[in-house]
Amino acid sequence: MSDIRLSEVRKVYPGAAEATIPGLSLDIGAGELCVLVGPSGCGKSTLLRMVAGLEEVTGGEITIDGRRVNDLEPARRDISMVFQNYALYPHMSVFKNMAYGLKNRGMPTAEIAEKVAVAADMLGLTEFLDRKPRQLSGGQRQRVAMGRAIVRDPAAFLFDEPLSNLDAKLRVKTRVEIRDLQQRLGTTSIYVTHDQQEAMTLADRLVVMNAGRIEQIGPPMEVYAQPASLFVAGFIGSPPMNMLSPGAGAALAEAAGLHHAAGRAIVGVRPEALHPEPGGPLAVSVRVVERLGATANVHGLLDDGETEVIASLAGTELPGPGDTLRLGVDPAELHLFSRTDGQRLT
Amino acid sequence: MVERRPLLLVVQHAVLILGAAVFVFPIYLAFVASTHTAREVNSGLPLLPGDQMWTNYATVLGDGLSTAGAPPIGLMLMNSTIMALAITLGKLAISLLSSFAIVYFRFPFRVLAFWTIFITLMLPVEVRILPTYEVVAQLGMLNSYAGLSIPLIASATATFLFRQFFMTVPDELTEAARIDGAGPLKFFRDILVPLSRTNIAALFVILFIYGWNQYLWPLLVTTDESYYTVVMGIQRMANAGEETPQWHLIMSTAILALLPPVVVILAMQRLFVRGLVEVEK
Repeated sequence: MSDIRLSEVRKVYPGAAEATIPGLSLDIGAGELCVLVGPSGCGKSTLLRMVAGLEEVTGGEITIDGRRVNDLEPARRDISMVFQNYALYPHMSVFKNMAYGLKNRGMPTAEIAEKVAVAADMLGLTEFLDRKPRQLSGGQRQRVAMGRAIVRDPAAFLFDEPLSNLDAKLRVKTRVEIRDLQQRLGTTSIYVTHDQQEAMTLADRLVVMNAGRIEQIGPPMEVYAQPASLFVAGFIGSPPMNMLSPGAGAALAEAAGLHHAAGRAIVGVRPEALHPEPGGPLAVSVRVVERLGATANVHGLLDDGETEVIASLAGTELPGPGDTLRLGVDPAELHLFSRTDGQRLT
Repeated sequence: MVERRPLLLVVQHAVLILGAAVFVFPIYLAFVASTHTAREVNSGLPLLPGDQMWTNYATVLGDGLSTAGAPPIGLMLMNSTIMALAITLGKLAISLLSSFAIVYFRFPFRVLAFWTIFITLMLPVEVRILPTYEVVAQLGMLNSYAGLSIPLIASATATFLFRQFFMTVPDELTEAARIDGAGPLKFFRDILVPLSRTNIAALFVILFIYGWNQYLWPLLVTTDESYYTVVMGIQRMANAGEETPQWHLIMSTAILALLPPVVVILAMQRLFVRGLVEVEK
């Protein structure tokens, strides 16, 4: 088990006016699964590729297991990577795909066969070892890519959106398998995704990134419960947190007894924190009701006529379009953000 | 498209049969001519094969047409095969390597190098034949297999095609290979070349026929009969000075000269048909 440390890592692409990553530090503990999440273009993949050695580091230092790897070839960093499109060698059988990295390291044939057999068994790939990648389904290809990563028994796994090419059902299933495998092997992992749900469910620690900077680091539930900024609040959680302008949110803040903030701060409230309350501080005219089974998302407009609000309500007695719904919220569930820089106010 | 109307079917077949006949008829005539005696051929060509086939073929294969200044055809066929194979393999090796360099390495004047290669596409062998002859002569390569093949090996077409193919190979494959510890040459040998298999087969056929059909160049660099190729041999037979050309034997030679390219096409057919229509990724 090995830790990964990034200190003041910078990335500037040649010819680019601005840095893609202006200077970022992050410590990933041994055995931890750290998820980098953010919208596309936030620099999360660039960061991962710098750790892998596929992208040059402009400044700063990356160490894996205490060893500075900035100038090492990817093969010598003791990492393995799972790519979004799996990047399996199309002309090689599953066995050869998994064995190729070991062969290049000069491992004896018998040992390779043994390692591949163990990995294939772990992933349920034993019966497919002679097939070519094109004869496999998407999920099986994904597992071959995983197998190629684990046979080497590396210091760290790097995942670059490994589930994006799977359909929704398989994605949920594979997500669990990845988590299970990572826990069993205890290998330090960095996982990049733009899917906040995937990030929440997988992570030991979540790193929310925006424009090359870290917005917040923490365990998933902490990030969810205490978002550090408007950006994090809007990005984590589905449906997204309702953001009420200081004017629209004033009634809510007053009702919660937060008089100092009323009319001055942006008020955030999660859809699942809202509940129907006769005479509650929010009056919402309902426009659309999305039924999800156990809950329903009620979309509506506040009485100012422009602020959109989503409430996630349980139960079967749901309002219909055109109804006016009065909603209340537990004061502890209110999030206040600065109007000027979007940071959380405590 | 897949309409099933009887009239349409008849028209389609008629067109196809007519087209095929137009192409095959000259070859058929050549075959017919190669099965008759010289007299029968010269007094108006019959339309049906005669009974002289074995005699004629045995003559060209064994003795050659000494009066026409051509060696036995077996030797010429072998020379042609050696030249065509050397050109094909040389072109494939050089163009694979040069397109690998152009696509995967960043070196100064990379784009210039590519365009220089590309521009030579516009210069056929015939245009640069005098300077090339001079160089080959100075190097003492006249009347040798090296002289026959080396000057024809540089290939812009194949380099261009491989470049286009390499550019469609996903970057992730290169990156996965780097993580798997494959250096550039290992990546080339273990991944790029196997992936190019179908392209190589297709080019093999095209280049082999190109090499086989070379006429002007062998005519210039060989004066020694033991290096004559079959395509130029046919020409020498037909221009047999004062004598009447022995058409029955010339046609036997032509039919025999047709066979090696056909063999190559049949051998590569399965691979190259796939290579031209589908890229396996």
